[in-house]
Parts: sequence; structure tokens; C-alpha cells
Amino acid sequence: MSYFLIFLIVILSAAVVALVVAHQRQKSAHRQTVSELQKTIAILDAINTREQAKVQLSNEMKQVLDKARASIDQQLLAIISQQLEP
Amino acid sequence: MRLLYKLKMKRLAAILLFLSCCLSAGAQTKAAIDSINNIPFEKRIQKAVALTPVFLKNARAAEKIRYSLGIADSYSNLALVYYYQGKYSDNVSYSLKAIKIYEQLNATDRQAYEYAGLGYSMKRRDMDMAQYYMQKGKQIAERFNHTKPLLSIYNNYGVLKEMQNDLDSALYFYKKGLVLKESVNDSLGIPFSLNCIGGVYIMQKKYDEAAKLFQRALSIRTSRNDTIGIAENYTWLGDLHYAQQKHQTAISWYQKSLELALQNNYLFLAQSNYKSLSDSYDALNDKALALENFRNYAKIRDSLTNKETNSKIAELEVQFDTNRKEKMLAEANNLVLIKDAEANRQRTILATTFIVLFFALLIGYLLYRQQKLKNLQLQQEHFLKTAILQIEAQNKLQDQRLGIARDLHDNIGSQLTFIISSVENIKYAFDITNQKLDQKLQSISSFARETIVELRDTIWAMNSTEISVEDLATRILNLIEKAREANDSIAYSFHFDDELAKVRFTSIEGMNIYRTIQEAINNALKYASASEISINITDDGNSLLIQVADDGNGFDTDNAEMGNGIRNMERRTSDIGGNFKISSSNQGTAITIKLPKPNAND
Repeated sequence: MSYFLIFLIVILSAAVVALVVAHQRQKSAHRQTVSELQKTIAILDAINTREQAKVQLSNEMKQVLDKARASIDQQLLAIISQQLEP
Repeated sequence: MRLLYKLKMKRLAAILLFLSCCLSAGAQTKAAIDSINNIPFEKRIQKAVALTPVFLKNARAAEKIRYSLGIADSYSNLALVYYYQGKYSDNVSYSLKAIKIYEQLNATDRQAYEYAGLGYSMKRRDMDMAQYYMQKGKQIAERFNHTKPLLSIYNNYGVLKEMQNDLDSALYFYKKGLVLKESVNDSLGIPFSLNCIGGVYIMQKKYDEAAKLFQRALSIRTSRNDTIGIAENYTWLGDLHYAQQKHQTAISWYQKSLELALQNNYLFLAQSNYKSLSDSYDALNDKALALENFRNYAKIRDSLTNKETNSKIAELEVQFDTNRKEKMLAEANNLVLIKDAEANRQRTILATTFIVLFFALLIGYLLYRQQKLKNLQLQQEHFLKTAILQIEAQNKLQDQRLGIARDLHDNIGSQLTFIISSVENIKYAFDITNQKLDQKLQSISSFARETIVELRDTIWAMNSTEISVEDLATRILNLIEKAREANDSIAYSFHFDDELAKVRFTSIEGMNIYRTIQEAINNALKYASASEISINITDDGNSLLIQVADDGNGFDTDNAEMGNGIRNMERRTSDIGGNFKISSSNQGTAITIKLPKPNAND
């Protein structure tokens, strides 16, 4: 009977150890996945920042062009009005 | 005689009363218990019946205070008194109990005594067992070198051997005992050994040697005034002469012994003496005296036999009781064993249930914890993946926007070039005399050119992922070259620290720095009337300093109205997290921009 008890304890202990090991492995695998995902996010974030800077530059350029167009329009209007003078 | 007997009885009653008082008054100290247990051996034998309840009480008293040695000594005494009452089962039972306790206490001397005593007491009932216990006692005493127990053990062992008719062995042990007794000068024990050896010598017909030993024993006992011992020795001397067929001398010794035996009420010896006298007279052919002595012998024998018969009946009853009790005990033991087995089984079932339950709970908890962790991990991974998808979508959208912007800028660039060439064609195709019109067309043309330059600068910045100080320097040198083309009377100097060459800015930061420097140079060209313009980019620890300075006439920074140019420079510096500072005097103007060093922050 005592042998049976020892056998039972050994089997159940092995099951517990296996579960604990599996738990630790799962944790470790998750840590790795999270680390990889965070790296990807950091890379994408850097790309995103650069793209945003470019968009900003583009907006700025749009302003310059708007200003240039307005100025040229003004000059042309001045020329036209001068030509129309008697 | 009667008076003497009464006195003795009174003394015994007083002792018993004292002992009872000691026990009943609660004086159950170890000393009191020990004093009762150490009553002299002779008294214990003589008053065996009277002392039985005393020793029983003493044992209970010792049990009460858990005085193990006292308990064992009391049991040993009870064994002795029961033996002399013929209660052999009680004798054996108490003796074994005492031995068990002595063994637990490691009192090996007492243990040896008890074993040897038990063996000696069994010599007439079971010789094998008697020899077994005696040997055990002897072995223990010899192993632990206990002289005191060995004094009696050797002698008693010799008696056993003599009873088995092994005279040589008997003689060996008697002599061994004698040597030991002589070494410790045991005057009580030496005569016993001498007589025993003498007895064997008689059987071996060594009469002279036997006579010497008996005489020596007699002289020792006489010096000790041991009357019973003296009587015994007279009998031994009688036996010696009887064996030598000196009947007359033998008779005189027997008579002397008989007298002392009767005086001391030592009936066994008296009986023996009457028998020996009868035999001696018979040998001398004096039939009348032989008959008389035989009658006396028979009288004492009958009285003793009655006693012996009674004790034998009692012994048989005890044996019967013992057998019956043993049977009952065996049955009870069987019952206990069955119950024990059942209890064991139940304990095992209980332990198994407990263990299984414990492990089930533990495994359940571990599985629950693992599942919980899995959910949490999945949630976390999902969140991160969603974030990645969002950033990717955002990036894609921005990429599309930038693609459109690039197309637009390229298109606008070509359109502006077309405007410039159209204006130039108009100017050459039509001979324009109108000064104002000519100025306006010139203005449109130069404005378009400036816009193209700005557009190219922006496209440069947009196409660069990062802008290093080295890239900026190249761009600034181009700017200086163009400025020099516009006004070659001004000296330009440009310097940057070599260690800053690899410092990198984002495209928007680089563009803002470039535009600020460009604006500062333009302002110096337009308003300062300077002869020298210097541009310096230096390392200031964790920050980077950019200074554009001229040696022109300067302006009052407090009173002068700041134009769009300066405000733009301030705004651009602030947008990229830097400090803008302008200082001016009649010796020139200096614009300083302090920026955090990007690499230093990483």
C-alpha cells in the first residue's frame, strides 16, 4: 500500500513539475514575441515620424506655392490693369 | 523464645507502619522509594508475604512520580517475594518487567542481576530456561565488567552445572566465583563458594581437600557469628565424615548442626540433619536411634511437604491461569492485529484521498494560472499587433500622400519653369518700353525662380530620410556661393566642428535649420551693409550652437519692429525644440540658435 502511495506521489509530482515547466516556457516564448513586436513597432514608429516630417514639409511647400501663386496673380492683375489704362 | 518472637514481630510491625506512613503521607520521594527497595535481602526472604503489599504500594508510588528506576527495583523485589511464596508466574512476570525497564534505563548491572536471579529461580522448573537466563545475566555482567553481580552469578551457575551432573564445569565456575570474591574480600560469599567446591570434592572423593575448605569456611563464619552458616558448615562436615564412613564423627557434626538449626527455626536443615543422623545410626546398626531420628525427619518432612504440596497446587493453578490468560491474550492480540490492519487500511485510504485532493487542487490551480496567463498574453499580443497594423496603415496613407505631393511638386516645378520662359519670351518678343510693365514681368520671373529654388530645397529635404550636419554644410556652402554671386563685396566665412559631421536631424529639423540660416544670411545681405558674414556650427556639450553674425551697422532690438523674417526664424527654432537669440549693436548683429544634440539624446 505504501508503495502505491509513493508511486502516486511520484506521478502527481511529475505532473506538477511538467505543468510548472510548461508555464515557464510559455512565459519565455511570450516575452520573446512581445520583444519582437515592440521592435517592429519602434521601427514602424521611426518610419512614421519621418513620413510625418515629410508631410509637414509638403504642407509648408504648399504654403510657399500658394504665396507664389497669389503674388504672381497680383503682378499679372497689375499688368492687365496697366494695359487697360487709356 | 516467645518474648523474642513478640519483640521481632513488634519491630517488623513498626517497620511496616513506618513504610506505610511514608507512602500514605505522600512522602513519595525517590529517597523514600529507594529506602523501601533496599530492605536487606534476608528480611525480604523471611517476610516475603508481609512485604508483598509494601512493594506493590512502592511500585505505584514510583509510577506516580514516573521514577523508572524505583518502579523497576520494586518489580524486582516483587518478583523475589512472589518466588518465595511459590507464585512463579508473578515471579516471572515482574522479573521480566523489571528487566525491560532496566534495559531502557541502560542499568546493565541491575539487568544482569535480574536475569541471573530469574534463571536461578527457574532451576527446578525449567533447566533449559534457567540456563538461558543465567547465561544472559553472566554475559551482560562480564561485558560491562560488573564485579558485584558476578560474585553470585558464578556460584549460582556452578549450582546449575552441578545439578546437571557436570562436575568439572561446576568446579570451574565455583572456583572462578571464589577468586572474584577473594579479590573483593567478600566474607559473606567466600564460605558459600568454599562449601560448594568442598561438596564437589566429596563427590570426587577428594576428602582432605574438602575438609580444608569446610574448615576455612567454618572459621570465616564463626568470625562473622553467622549461626545459620555455622550450622550449614557442621552439616557439610558431617557429610564429609559420612562419605568417609566415619559415622560416629559424622553423628557429632550432625547433632551440632541440628541444635543450631532448631534454635534458628531452619527446618530444611533440621530435616536434612535428622535424615543424615538416621542413616548414620543405621550404618552403626543402632536401629532404635535410627528409627527415632527417622521419625523426627518424617515429622518435619510432612509439615514441609504439606507446604510444598500446597505451593505445588498453587503453582499448577497459576500455570492453568497463566495458560488461560495467555490464550485470552493471544486472542486479544489477534483482535488487536485485525483492528490495527483495519486502522492501517483506513489510514492509507485517508492519506491517499488527502494526497490526491492536494495534488488535484495544485494541478487545478496551475492549469487555471496557465490559462489566465495565456489569455493575458494573447490580449497583449493582440494589442501590439493592432498597434502595428494601425501604424502600418498610417504609414501607407502618409506614403500615398507623399507620392501625390511629389508628383504635384514635380508638376508645379515644370509649370514655374514654363512661366519663367514665357515671361522671358514676352520680354524679348514684344519690345516693351513701359518701364513699370518691364519691372512687373521681371518681378514675376524672379519670384518664380525663387519659388523653384525653395521647391528644390523642400524636395531635397523630403527625399532625404535624415539630414546630417555634413549635408547641411554642403547646402549652406551652395547658399553662400549664390550670395557671393549676388554681392561679391562681402567676405563669407563658414565653419563647423568636425566631430558634429555625423550628427543627424530629421528632414523637418534639417529643413527648419537650413531655412533659418538662409533667412539670417538674406537679412544680413539686405539690411546690414556688412563687409563680412560668418556662419559657425559648434558643439556645446549636449547641445549644438549655430551662429550667423555680420559686422554691419546693426539695429536697436528693443525699439525696432521685428519683421516676418525674424518671427519666422523664431517660430522655426521653437518648432524643433531650440532657443532663438538675436543680439545687435553698432558693430554688427548676431543670431544664435541653440538646439539639443539629437545623437546626445539617444
